[in-house]
Amino acid sequence: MKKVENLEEIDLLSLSFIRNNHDVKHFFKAQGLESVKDFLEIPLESVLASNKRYSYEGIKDKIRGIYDLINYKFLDIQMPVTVKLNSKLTYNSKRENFEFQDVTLERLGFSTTEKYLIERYIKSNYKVNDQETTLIDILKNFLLFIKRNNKTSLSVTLEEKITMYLNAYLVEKSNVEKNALNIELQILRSNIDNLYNRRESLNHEISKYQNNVKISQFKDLDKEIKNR
Amino acid sequence: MEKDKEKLELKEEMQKVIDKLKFDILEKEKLLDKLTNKMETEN
Repeated sequence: MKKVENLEEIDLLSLSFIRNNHDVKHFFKAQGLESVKDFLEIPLESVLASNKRYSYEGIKDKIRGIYDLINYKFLDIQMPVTVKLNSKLTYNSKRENFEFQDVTLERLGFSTTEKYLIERYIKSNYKVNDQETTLIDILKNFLLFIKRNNKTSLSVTLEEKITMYLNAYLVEKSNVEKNALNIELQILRSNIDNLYNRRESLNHEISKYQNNVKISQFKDLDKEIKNR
Repeated sequence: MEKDKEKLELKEEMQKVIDKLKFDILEKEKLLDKLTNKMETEN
């Protein structure tokens, strides 16, 4: 875990990836949250549940997304939503809109404007039958797109947010692969042990039979000698 | 990264050991079959 000192000195609303999130900023102000330390100390889910003004799921999801980003940036805590970055792009024909199977852009902490830009990018670059495209692929391409274009404060905050998600995803993927490799090695060791035991058992059986053959041959020879 | 590379090399070596053991076992099973047949014939 990262050692971060002085979280109480870091102004929550000045964080670049919160700057464009107006409803999230209003929430923080209403809760009297000024520093990153304040925010990390609140029992998030109970505050979200009790707060009637911020009751709709979109804002709750945005705040959860910002919470993940702050934990990741300052405390090095892996984001629980990284696994959902593999969510596939789908088309909702009723709403005539692109969506992702298991996650929303709000849940990733994107502001309304940021969400609108991403959705516009998807509409311009992806088709209704692009069923195998994942959220992580779209974010990677979108990041390249905003890096190539003129930078505004909006694109800078978007860039930082998406980069954090991509880095978190790569770390998570690498951990999963390492675990998978460790498990594979354990299975291979177990297979080797079993095969050694099987080979030893066969060696023992073969020795028994070979001894029996020798004894039998000895008996035959002995009989022959006696009969001479 | 270095540790991962070592693990992948170890995985490859272990796979070779397994293949060799399987081959040995197959040969020994054939030999055992021959010996048991021989014993049965002689008896």
